[in-house]
Amino acid sequence: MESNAHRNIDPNPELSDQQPEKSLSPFQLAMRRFLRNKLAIVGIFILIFFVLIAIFADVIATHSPTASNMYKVEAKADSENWLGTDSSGRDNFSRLVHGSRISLTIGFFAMLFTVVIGVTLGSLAGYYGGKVDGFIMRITDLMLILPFLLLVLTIIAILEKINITIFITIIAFTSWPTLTRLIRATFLSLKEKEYILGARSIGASDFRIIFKHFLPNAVGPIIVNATLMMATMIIIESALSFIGFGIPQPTPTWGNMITEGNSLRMLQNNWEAWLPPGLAILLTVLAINFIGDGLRDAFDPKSNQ
Amino acid sequence: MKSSKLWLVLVLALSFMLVLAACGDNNEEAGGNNDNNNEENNDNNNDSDSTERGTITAAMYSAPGHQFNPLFYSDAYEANILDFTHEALAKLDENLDWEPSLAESWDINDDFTEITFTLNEGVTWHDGEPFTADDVVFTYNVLMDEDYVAAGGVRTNYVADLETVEAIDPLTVKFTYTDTNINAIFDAAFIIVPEHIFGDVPILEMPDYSASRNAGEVIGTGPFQLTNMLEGERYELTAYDDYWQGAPGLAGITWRVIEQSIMPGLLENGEIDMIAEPNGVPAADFDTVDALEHITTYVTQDFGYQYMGFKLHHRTTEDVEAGVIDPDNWIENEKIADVRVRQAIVYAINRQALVDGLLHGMGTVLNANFPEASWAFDESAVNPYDYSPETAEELLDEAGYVDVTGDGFREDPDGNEWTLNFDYPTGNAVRERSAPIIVENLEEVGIRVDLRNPREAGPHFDLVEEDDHDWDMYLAGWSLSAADPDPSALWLSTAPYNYTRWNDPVSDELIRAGIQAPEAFDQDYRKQAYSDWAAHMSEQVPQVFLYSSDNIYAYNSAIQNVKHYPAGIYSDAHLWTLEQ
Repeated sequence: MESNAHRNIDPNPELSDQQPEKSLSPFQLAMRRFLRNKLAIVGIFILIFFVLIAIFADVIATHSPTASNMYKVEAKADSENWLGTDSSGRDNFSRLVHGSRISLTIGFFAMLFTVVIGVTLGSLAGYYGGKVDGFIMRITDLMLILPFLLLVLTIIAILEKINITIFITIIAFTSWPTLTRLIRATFLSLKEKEYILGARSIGASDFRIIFKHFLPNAVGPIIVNATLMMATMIIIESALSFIGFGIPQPTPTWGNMITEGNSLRMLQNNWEAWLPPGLAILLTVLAINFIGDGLRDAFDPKSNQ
Repeated sequence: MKSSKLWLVLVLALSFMLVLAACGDNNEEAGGNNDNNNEENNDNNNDSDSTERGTITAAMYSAPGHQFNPLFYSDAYEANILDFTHEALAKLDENLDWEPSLAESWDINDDFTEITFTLNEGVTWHDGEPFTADDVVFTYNVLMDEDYVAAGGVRTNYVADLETVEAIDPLTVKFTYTDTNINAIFDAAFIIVPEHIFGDVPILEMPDYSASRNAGEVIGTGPFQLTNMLEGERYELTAYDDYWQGAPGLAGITWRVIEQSIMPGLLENGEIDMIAEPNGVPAADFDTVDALEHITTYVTQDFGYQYMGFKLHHRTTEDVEAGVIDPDNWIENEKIADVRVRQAIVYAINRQALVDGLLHGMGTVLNANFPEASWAFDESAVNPYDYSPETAEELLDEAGYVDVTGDGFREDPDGNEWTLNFDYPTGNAVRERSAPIIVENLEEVGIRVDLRNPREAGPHFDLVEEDDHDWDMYLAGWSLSAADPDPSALWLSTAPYNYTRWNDPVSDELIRAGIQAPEAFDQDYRKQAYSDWAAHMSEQVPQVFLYSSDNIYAYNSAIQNVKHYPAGIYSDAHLWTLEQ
């Protein structure tokens, strides 16, 4: 497939490589529109802030996030533990900082995997139609009728051994159908366009048509949905960790930090333990949603901003 | 998704943790059959008199395992139901002495080989049938039947020395033992089940028989009947008005399954009235709960304890399938075969810190199978194993476990990678938190530990029993009988509960010496025997004793006549009344 595609592309390198480049100017227009959206810019700054924290977690954290101090359990904030300690005597601040790493990693990679699966299957279904479409769409329907959380909980319960890679794979494996349908729908609407017919009539390969003509025109919806999906992934991680099905202790994630707050005593007396991770989740998800909304407006051709 | 009841039940069942052992005697934690999910209707069919007598709500943090036949139940949550619905011939009083229950009196012959019980007149089962000596004979014959273990029963220690049980007349029953039995009353004080219900049921089918599982069909002699349940959520006990000691003072007791951490809040606002077995109120919440004006608290030391077991041997797969416990076939676990390694592990774990930090000081570090409250407790007999990472490192060096690759972790004496697998269950919050801390302690002295994902308690203990071959260390706990310290049921090499599969002839001999007649009638002799055994165990370290936590019971002060006994607060529940 790969080599075949190359052979087909090679004969006219100038034509094939130059033309899509020029047609990207709507993309630049979209970027210009996006940069004018103030909320989206705020979102970008917040996200960059958390990404920086995640990258430099080792430098910022004051303690090891997994080290327990049994003589200082559920402590209030002081000069040594800036946000107090949790019920196992671990430093909340360091866990919050390191938790950003896990939450963002899971959010980003789960999103990436989902996009890869979704775009691949969606393209195939939308482009080829017929039996391929029917087959892929039936699997999609099958996945969609299963309640998402039930499915995830069942898979996690069966697998038993959960680490970050497996966790990301599970989430991606269960959340691709929506994106697949979206890509398929976009492809179906593009299918009747003249330039597709043109490409087809000059004998371009399927591979080339998909990559050079369909995907660049579908990139708007893909980016917007991918961004919003990343926010969803972070929420899912937190939710699963909260009910004890996420990344197991002692690995710090924002979700399992919030679990501390499920006892009334902690809720009333130790806000340091659960409020900061809650805020961190809120801010990150909000920021990503702002960015996603900004992107949607930017890619909307009818937008007159 | 919201409509999915199943989803809710699943999340509740899975995320609410399980654990801690049952009562009665040496019981394993949790377990039980969860496979049968027939939901019961939960219509409230309280009698009209419920307006006059009150109903109380009690909370436990895991759901009972759906086995309400006393012969086969296995977890502390099922015991919470059975303690109110069933009775035995005798029970423990506030001094941990035996007092009559279903039996009016008993008589032991001079050489302690026979015990004859005279039963109370007028005792009836919940369905109105009279309780007779035949029921006692039937119960013990099931325990002695060879199919009993195959059907999943584990209470064979009650009949270890039993030769025959016979009904002399409807109100007299005689137990005959093969040898002098110093624990005759204890052995005869197993919960009695009705012959007229189970008499025709083959023993192998008994655990799945409807009268063992369904609310409304569970028949006992106790003051309350299990009338309704919503599996995994609530269990309703209704007063049995023809109870032989008089109609109960409460109209009913409703058990709810509630996450441990939110119990104190519900107790405060009156949604629940009682937190008792197992473990009671979390230690961290004790001060808050104790300060509540309308709540009475009662703290007593638990006779059980939490431990980290070593899988010293594994049974072969064939033996597991056949349900055979034969030490001769066992396969030794090389990774922890060296006693110095096990001693090093005890030294490396800061157990006092676990008690101070996780239990907020409400517990004690333990070094033997006997808690402080037991007369067999002897502090001087055992090595206290005070936290000392230095001693641990010395012992490991001496045993040849040194770091040759320079990665910070020790290799085994042959220079191969040495990783100890470590499994733990969810449910008991303190125990769950202790696992990563223990790993941290062990890694400090260079032991590489693979802490595996926690399981629900049910599957965890199934795997403990089945001797999963890649297990090295696991967390678990025992609830021990307050009645007698005899450790045979837990620690004889052939005992099913010998989960560590410790095969040590010296230990077996010392355990048997403790119940050796006639010397064992002298408590000082027994105390010495158990001290010797504890000392031997302390040196061999088949498991790491972690801690024994305090039981913190709390209940609404409006409930009157609750007895504060060392063995718990469920005694004489028919006298409980609710002050309006």
